[in-house]
Amino acid sequence: MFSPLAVITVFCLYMSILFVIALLVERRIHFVKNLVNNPVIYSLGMAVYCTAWTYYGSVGKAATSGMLFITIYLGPTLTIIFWWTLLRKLVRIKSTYRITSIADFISARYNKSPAIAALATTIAFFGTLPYIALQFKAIFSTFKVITQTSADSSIGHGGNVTYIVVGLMILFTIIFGIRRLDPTERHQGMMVAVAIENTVQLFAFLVAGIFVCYFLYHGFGDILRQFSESRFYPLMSAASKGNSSFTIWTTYTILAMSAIICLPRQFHTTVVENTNEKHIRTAMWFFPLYMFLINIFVLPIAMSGLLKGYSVSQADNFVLLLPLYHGKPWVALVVFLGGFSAATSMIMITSMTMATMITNHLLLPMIGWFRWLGGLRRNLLKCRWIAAAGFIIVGYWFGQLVGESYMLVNIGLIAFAAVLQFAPVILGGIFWRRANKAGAIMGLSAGFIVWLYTLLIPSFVKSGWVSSFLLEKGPWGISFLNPEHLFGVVTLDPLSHAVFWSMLFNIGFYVLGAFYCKSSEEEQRHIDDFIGISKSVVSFAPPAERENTVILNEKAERVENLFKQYFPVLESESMVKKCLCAQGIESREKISVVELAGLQNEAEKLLAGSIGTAAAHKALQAGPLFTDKESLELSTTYADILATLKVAPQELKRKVDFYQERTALLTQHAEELGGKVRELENQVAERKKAEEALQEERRLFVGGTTVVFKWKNEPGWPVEYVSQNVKGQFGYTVEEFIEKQILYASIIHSEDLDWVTEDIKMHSRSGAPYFEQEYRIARADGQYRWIYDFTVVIRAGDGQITHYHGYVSDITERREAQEKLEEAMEVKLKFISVVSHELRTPLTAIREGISLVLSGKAGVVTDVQKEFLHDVKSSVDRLTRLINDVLDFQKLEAKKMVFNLQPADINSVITEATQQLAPLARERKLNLIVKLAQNLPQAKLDKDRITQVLTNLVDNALKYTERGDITISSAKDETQDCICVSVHNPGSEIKKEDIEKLFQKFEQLERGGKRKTGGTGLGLAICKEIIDQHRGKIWVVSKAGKGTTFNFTIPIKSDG
Amino acid sequence: MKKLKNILKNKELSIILFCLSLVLFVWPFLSSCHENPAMMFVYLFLAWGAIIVFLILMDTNSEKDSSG
Repeated sequence: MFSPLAVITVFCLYMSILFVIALLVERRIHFVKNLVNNPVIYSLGMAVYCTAWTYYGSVGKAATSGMLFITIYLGPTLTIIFWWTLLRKLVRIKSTYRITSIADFISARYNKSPAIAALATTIAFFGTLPYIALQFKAIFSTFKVITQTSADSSIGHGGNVTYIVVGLMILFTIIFGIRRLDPTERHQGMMVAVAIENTVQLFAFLVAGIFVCYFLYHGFGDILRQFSESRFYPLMSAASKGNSSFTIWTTYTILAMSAIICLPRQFHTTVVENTNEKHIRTAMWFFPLYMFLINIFVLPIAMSGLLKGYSVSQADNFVLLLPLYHGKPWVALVVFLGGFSAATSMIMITSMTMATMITNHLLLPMIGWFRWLGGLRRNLLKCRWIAAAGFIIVGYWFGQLVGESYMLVNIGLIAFAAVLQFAPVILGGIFWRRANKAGAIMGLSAGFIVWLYTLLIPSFVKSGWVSSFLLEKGPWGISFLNPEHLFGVVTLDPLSHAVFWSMLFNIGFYVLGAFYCKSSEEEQRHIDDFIGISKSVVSFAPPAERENTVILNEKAERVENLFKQYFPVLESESMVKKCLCAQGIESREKISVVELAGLQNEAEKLLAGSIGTAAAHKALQAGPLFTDKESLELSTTYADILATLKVAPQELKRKVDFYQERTALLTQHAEELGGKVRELENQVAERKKAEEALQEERRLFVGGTTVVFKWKNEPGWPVEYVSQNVKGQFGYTVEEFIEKQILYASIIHSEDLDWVTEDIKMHSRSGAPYFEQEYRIARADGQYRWIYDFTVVIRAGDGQITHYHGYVSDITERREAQEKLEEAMEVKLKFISVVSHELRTPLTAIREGISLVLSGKAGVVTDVQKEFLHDVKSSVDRLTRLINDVLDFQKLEAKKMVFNLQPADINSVITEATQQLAPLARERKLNLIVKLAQNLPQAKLDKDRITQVLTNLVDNALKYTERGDITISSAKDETQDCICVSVHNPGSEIKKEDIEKLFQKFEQLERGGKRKTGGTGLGLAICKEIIDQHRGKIWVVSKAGKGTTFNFTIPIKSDG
Repeated sequence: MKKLKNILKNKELSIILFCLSLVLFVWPFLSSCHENPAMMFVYLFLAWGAIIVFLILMDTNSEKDSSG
């Protein structure tokens, strides 16, 4: 036996664990993420159908009525066969209308009628209250069994324990299911907790069954054999021998068939909590399998209990008593926990559902009638807490009041019969187009009243609450109205009797109302939605482009004010944004009436998720978004559409249905295909990326000539990494470098090693991020190769060099080609020098000869002869200059010209050069003007070469100047720290496009429309080379009307 | 086997299965064993198990579409 405190502690611990799991699920913690939107969890959630009644009551029923208990589970199995059609339809309607409960569903179908919602809530209240009582009865009776030696199974007065249990049930219901207002009314955390409870329930019952069958007896066969020989055998089979056995069996089956959908908790777990239609497929076999397993040991346990000598009145507790009194108290505790799980999950789900229904369909309409209750709208959550607590307390009270007279199973069937009243309106609502609000109200009311009269009131009588005269003689002695023999029907058992009459009245009035009352136009629209829902889940697209005339801000404000009546300000604002986003109009200022209709629908749906469709509809009607003008415009819009399409409304509907169905199918296929395509695209993209990277790597490191090194900054440069292609380039393998630690320095040519080392040190000291070198390395086969090494310096955080990354390429071929070229240039230069010398010698002799003849020392020369001799002399001079230019240029190009750079005064160089050219200027009747800056610093220069440059420039100026002065000037350029020399002539300008060609070799430009002759086209190219060698610059500025200026600079601090 | 799979995909199969279940779970089939609780137990659980197996087969062979 266990102390009450121990059992309560286990109970609290168990519920705490469940709560933690529920919390983790709601917060989407990684390791429980898979439990969300899981078909198995969904299916296990449905097992809330198997309550304490199943757990304890089925055994009790089996002990007295044999296999009759099984109908309660066969009935749902029969209904489940149609679930893919039926339940899927309900789920789609739920998603479309944001249905929150069974009352909400019925109301939504029948024109969102608050009256129907209230009526359905009332029926559900009366129908489920006994069920709550049943669960409490089971908890208390088993609690007493497990904590006392007595096996009294009646509801006892366990002192404070009952209040503690009731209090805890209220607490757990609120924290599990009503912690906050959820517009979807889905509670994934709670559903996981319920699924675990149902798993525990199944496990515990299987443990009890295995214990009874295989520890107390030798299996099923042994129990069945012993039982068939016992005195109880006729007792169990007698139930099926009576005249009404068929009727009872059928009644139970029908009740169970409807209960699986119509019980509020079942509707919640199967319809409201469904997140994916496809889960229905799994639930269609998983849930029947669950029922199959939980019932397989019921009959053996019942038989075993009777065989062990327990009385039939104790049958409800056989499952607990057998392990408890046969030396297995821990098995009994597990069984108790299983039964407790069954009861708590049922109480929590039912109370939560009823709290939603009571607040949405009873309280909110009352708030509408009594304005002074308006403040409650803002406290909807607290109202739900109070409703849940009130419902549980009333359930407990009801159990205390009337529960003593019935066994557990009878209370359950009263509830089943009550919710059966929903079956016609639900089935008719989704399959019968003619069904309407009037019929639903009439049918539900009639069925409920008959149920009340024929089943509930007799239960009160049997509990001693009402005089038994009613059942014996009928009201006022009229036996015709006897609740259990209504209108003289005496052949049926009380339950079948109540079911028969309630259904007859319910269906009768429902059909009557449908035939005699006409549906309103709005109701007709809902009918279309409900009946044709399986054809499509796609909503209408905006029908046509309309002018945007409605100011969105005003309407959004109205919607927000409406939301504020029920929710906090921040939540209201967020909901309004959600509505606007859903319609895609969040950034608009004005919208069309069609879009306004969409906004209204969205707001209504969102509100319906929290307060039910009927209340939401009424709230929107009370504060309509549409003005009369807007309503008229909307009507006109729809009329226009019909007129444009030239089809009758029915024809349009049929076509829309057809295309919506096609769209739904195509959308789904497209989504599936899209998903696959996206998956494949991702795979292809990833593969392509990887292949490209691989190719690049191959190209760089395997197939390419560049070898990548990573050297440590240590003596000899040990190699830390080298690319695979090193073998091809160096002849060494990667292993030889890495594992055998061949130092990189050891393969550098001994002649290059010193300067390479110094160069690296120098670059490292300078802080350069990288440097380049060309040196020789020795391949593994001893062959020397020239390499180009681009080295990147890798430094640590403190600036110390840790590594070098080198990109090394073999340039041996280039170097060889370069060497050959240099040799060829050398040969060419020698050849030119020889030729030049050989040419200059005779030319000098010719020139001197001519000069001698002209001087008259060789005889008298006539004027004509003089003229000829002058021409010859000038041609010889020209030829000499040409040879000198060619020789100079070749020397410069081959870098063979030696510059003797010495500090010198540039002004003296200018003066000297000018003096040399003064006769020529005079000859051409031009003035040479020299403007020299004073106190110029000395510059390092080769006087002869600078003189050559100046001579060339001044000579050019003289050539291209017809008249005017040629100015030669010097100046110091402070910004550049150099001396600038300019030669200006007032001659014609040089074209802009020609300036770029000016310093190119063999270029002779036309100036002033004529080409001057007598030049080689190498003069300026030589000048440029000479100035470059001095690390100076040379350029030209030429402007029309202002002449041309050649400038060159010589650095004052030249290293050259 | 393929034929059986096609049959299981048939949407009308649920109607046939329902009718079959109804016949199995009510009179007159039950009357043959209703006097012996043990026999009835075995019969009902076998029939029930068979229906569940059928439902599993229907699920595994169902076309994964939403049409209805």
